[in-house]
Amino acid sequence: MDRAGDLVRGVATLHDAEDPSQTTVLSPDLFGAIQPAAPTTYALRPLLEETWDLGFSDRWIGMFLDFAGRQGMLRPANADSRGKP
Amino acid sequence: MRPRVHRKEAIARIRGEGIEISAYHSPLAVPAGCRVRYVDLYSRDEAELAYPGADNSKEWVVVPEILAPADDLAVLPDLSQDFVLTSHLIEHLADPLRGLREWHRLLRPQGSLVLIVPDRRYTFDRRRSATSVDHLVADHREGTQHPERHRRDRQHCADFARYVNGLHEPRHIDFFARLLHESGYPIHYHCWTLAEFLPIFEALRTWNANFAFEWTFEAPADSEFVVARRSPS
Repeated sequence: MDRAGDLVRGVATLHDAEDPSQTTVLSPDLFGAIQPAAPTTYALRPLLEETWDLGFSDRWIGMFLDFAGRQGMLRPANADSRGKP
Repeated sequence: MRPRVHRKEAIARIRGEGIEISAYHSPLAVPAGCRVRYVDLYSRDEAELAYPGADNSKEWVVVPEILAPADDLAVLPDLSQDFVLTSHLIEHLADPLRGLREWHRLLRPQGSLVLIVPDRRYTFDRRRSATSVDHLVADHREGTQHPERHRRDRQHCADFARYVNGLHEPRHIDFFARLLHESGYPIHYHCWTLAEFLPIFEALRTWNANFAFEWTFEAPADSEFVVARRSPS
């Protein structure tokens, strides 16, 4: 994981690939933010990997994760499929 | 922003007790003596989280009394409202006919329906095509689980990702359209001009949801138009 991003204790951190000092931290409040969670939820890692594979810029990736989190679509690694820790 | 005089005129005729759906931070100023209750899908705190780009000023954001989808207000009885107000809402409904039939159900005889709708020519929808009445009728007849309805709804999300969010590559558009669709995020599913919108009322007669003409407003280059209708006596 190198280009960016992981989920540690419910906090997602994105690292700018070209400037590692630039990071974006997504609040844990965003995970399952709106109750109930969306019908479809994603673990962070595979969603991130999909965005990388698609060649999105970090700006877009940050926007997508923020969007997905606010819509209750992201689930922490230890959550069940409904996004509940 | 230019004064919204037409909004005031649109609701000048309403009387009694009614609802405004999805007012959030822009409640309409109802005439003196009217009692309005606010309906929204989200509580105020949830809405602030869901719509970070909106003006979340505490002073203006209304507190909804009724939390329910705009097109499924079973909590309210038939013929229970003197007016139903919506502003910049109907374009967010995947099935506008369902919403209009529901609001018709709620209105007492001579009750007022006021719709303030963005004009696609002067908003971020300017590059999108209007939704035809046939399309809306198909959406309504088929229901959410029908594969064709699913395909059309996904296409609306793709249009939104392309023309509103500005994505260009098909694979990028497909990705964000999927997120939009799966989340149920209330994009502008549909868009119209006033002339494109009015035939919807003819289609509604199929379901005995008849509305009488009351008032319409549009102005050159204005970003919204107004349709006021009245339920039969």
